[in-house]
Amino acid sequence: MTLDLFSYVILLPVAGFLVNGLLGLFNLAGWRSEARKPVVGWLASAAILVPFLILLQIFIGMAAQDKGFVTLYNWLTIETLQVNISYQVDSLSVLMGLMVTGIGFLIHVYSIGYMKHDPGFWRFFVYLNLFIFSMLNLIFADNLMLLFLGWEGVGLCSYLLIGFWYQHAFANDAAIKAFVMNRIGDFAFLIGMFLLFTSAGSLNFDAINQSVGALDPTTLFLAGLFLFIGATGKSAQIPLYTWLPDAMAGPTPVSALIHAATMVTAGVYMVARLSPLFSASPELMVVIAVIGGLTAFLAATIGLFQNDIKKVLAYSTVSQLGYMFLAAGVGAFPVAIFHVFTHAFFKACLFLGSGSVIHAMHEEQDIRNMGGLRKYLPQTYLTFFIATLALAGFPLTAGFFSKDEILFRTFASGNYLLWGLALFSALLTAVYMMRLTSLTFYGRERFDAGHKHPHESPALMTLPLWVLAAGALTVGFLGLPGVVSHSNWITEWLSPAVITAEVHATHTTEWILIGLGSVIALTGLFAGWKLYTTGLETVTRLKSGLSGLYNLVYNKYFVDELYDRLVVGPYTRLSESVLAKIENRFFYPVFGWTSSAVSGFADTLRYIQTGYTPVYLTLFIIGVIGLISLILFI
Amino acid sequence: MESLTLNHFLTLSAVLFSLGVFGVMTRRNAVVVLMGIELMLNSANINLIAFSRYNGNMDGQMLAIFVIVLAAAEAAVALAIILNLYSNYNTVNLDEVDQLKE
Amino acid sequence: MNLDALITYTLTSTALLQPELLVAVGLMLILVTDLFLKKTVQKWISVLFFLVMGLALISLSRQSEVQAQVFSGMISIDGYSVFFKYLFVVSALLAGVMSLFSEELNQNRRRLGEYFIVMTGMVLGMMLMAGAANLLMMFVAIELVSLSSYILVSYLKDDKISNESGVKYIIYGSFSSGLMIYGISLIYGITGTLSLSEMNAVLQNPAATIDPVTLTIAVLLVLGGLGYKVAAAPFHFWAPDAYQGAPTPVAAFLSVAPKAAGFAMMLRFFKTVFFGSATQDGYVPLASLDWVSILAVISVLTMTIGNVTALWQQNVKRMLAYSSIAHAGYILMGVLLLSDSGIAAMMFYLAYYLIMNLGAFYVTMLLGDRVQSYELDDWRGLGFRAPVLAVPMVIFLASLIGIPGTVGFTGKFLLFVAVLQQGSLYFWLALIAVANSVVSAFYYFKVAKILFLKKSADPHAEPVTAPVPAVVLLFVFAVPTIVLGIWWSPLYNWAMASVRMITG
Repeated sequence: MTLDLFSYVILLPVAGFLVNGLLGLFNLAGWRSEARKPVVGWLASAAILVPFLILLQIFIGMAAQDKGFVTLYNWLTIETLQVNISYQVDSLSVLMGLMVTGIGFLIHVYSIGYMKHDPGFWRFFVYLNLFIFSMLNLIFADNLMLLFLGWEGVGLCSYLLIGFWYQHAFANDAAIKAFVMNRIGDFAFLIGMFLLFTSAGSLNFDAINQSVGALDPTTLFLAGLFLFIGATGKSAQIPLYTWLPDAMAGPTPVSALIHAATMVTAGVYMVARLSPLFSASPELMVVIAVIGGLTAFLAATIGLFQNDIKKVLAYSTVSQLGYMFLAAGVGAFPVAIFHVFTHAFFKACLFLGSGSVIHAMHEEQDIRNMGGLRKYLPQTYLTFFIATLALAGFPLTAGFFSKDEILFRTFASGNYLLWGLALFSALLTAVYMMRLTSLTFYGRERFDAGHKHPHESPALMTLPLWVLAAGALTVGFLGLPGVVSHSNWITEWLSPAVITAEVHATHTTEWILIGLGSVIALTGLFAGWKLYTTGLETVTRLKSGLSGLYNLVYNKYFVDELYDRLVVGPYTRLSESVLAKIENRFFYPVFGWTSSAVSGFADTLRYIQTGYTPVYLTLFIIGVIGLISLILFI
Repeated sequence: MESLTLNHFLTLSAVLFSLGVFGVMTRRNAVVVLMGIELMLNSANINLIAFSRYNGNMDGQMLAIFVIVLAAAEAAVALAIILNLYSNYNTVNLDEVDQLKE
Repeated sequence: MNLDALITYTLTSTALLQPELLVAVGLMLILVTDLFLKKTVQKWISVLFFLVMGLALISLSRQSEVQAQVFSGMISIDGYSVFFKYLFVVSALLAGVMSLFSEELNQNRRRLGEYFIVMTGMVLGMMLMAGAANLLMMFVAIELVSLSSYILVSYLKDDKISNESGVKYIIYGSFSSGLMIYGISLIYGITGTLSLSEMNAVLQNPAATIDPVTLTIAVLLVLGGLGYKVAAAPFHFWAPDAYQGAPTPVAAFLSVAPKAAGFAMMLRFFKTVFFGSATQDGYVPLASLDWVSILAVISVLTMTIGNVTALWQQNVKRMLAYSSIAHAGYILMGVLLLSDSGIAAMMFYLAYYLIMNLGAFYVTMLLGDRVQSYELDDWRGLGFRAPVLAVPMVIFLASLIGIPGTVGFTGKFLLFVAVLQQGSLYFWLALIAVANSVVSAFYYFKVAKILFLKKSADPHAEPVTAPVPAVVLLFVFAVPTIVLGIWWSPLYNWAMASVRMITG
């Protein structure tokens, strides 16, 4: 394995950031002008493509157990503690790096088309390059400190990109929400890091992972817990998930790149990177698995009733991240990474597809005002449909393999309750994804077709869609289930870097579970299609108050009503009364209280500063007397 | 007649110091506040000189002389600033100048 | 000691104290020149000021190897004090250049001579503060700095705000020196000496009977005086008013240099008086009093009050004032550890804090002069009108938050590592500090957000620019903020080497 070129992987994106940033900020050489836009865009894309190619070359030339270090700079040395700008190239980081640069490049190309008319074009690519740079630091870091730098960096970019259209108040609000939640997570992350540093005496991953056995179990648990809380902030898990759906206020390529494919999976990556640490504490593993399972379920249920095309996908992302943590929590760390990998393809494809739809519909995002778009956007439709199948777990697509592996490993670990929850969530996933596809692409146009003229996006945008869709169909074969093939490539590839729990299950069980998974996916897809194509027409007809075809309508209505009464009604009531309340009465207030406590405190403090000098002097004396009594009487 | 002991001086200085602090905290007029501060400084001087005698070295007296000089300098600067305050605000009452707060 | 020996001793002392004497002579020179210079060409007095400071820098480089106590143990010359003296002179130079671009000061151009005289006096006072090894010297030095600051703060005679802040500052400051000198008199009474090292010997002597209550009260009164100098809670009330009212270059200078001097003195005082021999992981406390906890309480109070109150501020100068209070809280962590790495981290922090905070105040001054307002509301969208000024501002803000890649991060990191190295006892302190820096991100970010993410009230507002030399100076601040964040070890090693050279 040769790493001669590796430093360019890190340096090129930051070079792209600097060039575009400085030229754009001062508008040198007319950098912000319409004519320079392609130059800016392709420059930024090249700054990602070259690192991808370098990584590909490294990947081809390496064996799974290869591991190399590249130290760019000896940064902090304080007595025994060393923190270097040092990168670790092993099977895990190369795989993640390929994913980030590969998908990152496609999204860059897509954005050249998507952002064509935006006045902040250059700014967008500057942020994107900075993001890729931070993300690569996060992935390749060989110590927690550098990982944290990347972690902060991607958070910053995420904030900037969510608030990209700062003219809109909601974009600003969403950006601030993301910022606050991520700060909470980062704070916990730092505590975890401190704990590890004081107990293990090092921040290097290798050193930490090796010293796990010597650590006190309580410290281990606490350190891991705080790191995991950090991960819930970044990866949008309970209780810090609510920022991600709001983050959709950013441009769609950003949602695809940052809030679906890469940044939000950083938490999963961190957990996998420290897999020996996490798996050494069984209690911690239970926490991770339960949080993951619950998030997967909760988000899937919410996703079922969203009407904003991007919100549905956002909740779906939260849910899928839940699956990844579930996998990690049951000790199947490589499977978690496998799902990160497959998910990146189909979710990026879905988001870019939704971007194409939004583009075609002139910034319309409400799926109730869409429908029948299949004939206007054939390519978008086809890729979107493929990605939907993959996400729903249609047999032999990418999502099928990774999700089934997660379900199987959960079952095999003996957490039957979580397995049931995950299985049910899989059903919901299939339903809401098919609902989304149906409402968007099937049925009648619920918009003024003569007025809107939806049109297919240019090749610059559809080409990335096809590449991603192809990935969504094929990458699953990298991790074939144990019953089919003895060598599960991805697990073996990751085995030197990531540990995995033993599996105790017979082949028969696995076959049964695979069958069950396929049935669930097919059922869900069918239900979603049936309900939201034909069923929907009924609803519409009823609403418009047409009085013809009574019996038929009555019967259909009866079916709908039955469905409504038995499933939708209770569920809607549940979701409105319980789930919404949990969100409104618990999560929001908790953050509300925290912030109002801080601001109340600040309010008190600022009124102490009365502006009256005698009061200041009195407070001075009170301060001295207070300190004296503190030292004498306590 | 009972001779003066160290304690007598310390008590005097403590009383003066407290009066000074009290004056500073309760008076509104900036000039009177300054006088309170002078009291505080001078109570420290009494301490220093008494201790100097008691400890049998000259350090305290030396410091006392410096304190007197510095107090004079401080008073000069303070009075100049307060004079300027009067020309700007037409008052020397501290509780009437409170534009800067919170 | 006979007369000959005394004269020789005095001459030797004088020779060793060259930089201080140079500044003192320079002060008189500027004073005299000012008398004879025409009022219309007052700006040229600054040249003399820069010359004096430049010479002081050169002569400081010759002092760096000296290790001595001069003038009967009044002043220590050691690596530690030299480190700080460099800081004072450099910050005076930078603040001096900054002053030349200030609108407020240029409107009072005819009195610019006074400005530089007082500034020079302040530098002299701070140099003496860093070396003071005797309570007498400490008091005189601190008063010299204070008196100069009062005059500088109320320099704008016709400006009501400046005047008000000056009055508040001097009343508050005189009061605190009153308390401090009373504390000093008590310390003198119970230990019988004013010299810090002799005091240490008295405390180390098991035969000596020291009343702990008196000692506590006395030391806390002195601590009040020092706390006032560094603007630590609960002795910080003067700071926001004084900074807001003062001319911006003065506020900038006050927020870094006297603060560093106060810390230098505080550390020498505690380390010399209350601690015995050094061990590997710290110093052995002498008196049974728990100074560490007291300083920890002050540190926590300071950073919390500073940060939380800053959240509310709408005036940039006032916000920066609270931010500098908060930073004093972080720096106190390094003081209370009394470990080599803690002190070195503190010195490192003070050194770069000088650059980034002067920088932040400088941009504030440039923008404030041009917009004629320091209110955040008037700064909306300024980032796109004045990218040359606003981008460095974001760099300074990022560094003040402690965002990785800037020197602010390195400094905080060093400080936290020093705290954590002391074991789990201080874990909570580090935790509170981190929580505080999380809170601080909000108000720093608010400024960046206002600059770049808010639309200007007037969409057709003119671009805002500054003269080229002013921008060049801006980069003198901005570049080290980044560079030191990455290439920091020389400065840290220098601080570390200086720590090892502290003499009593």
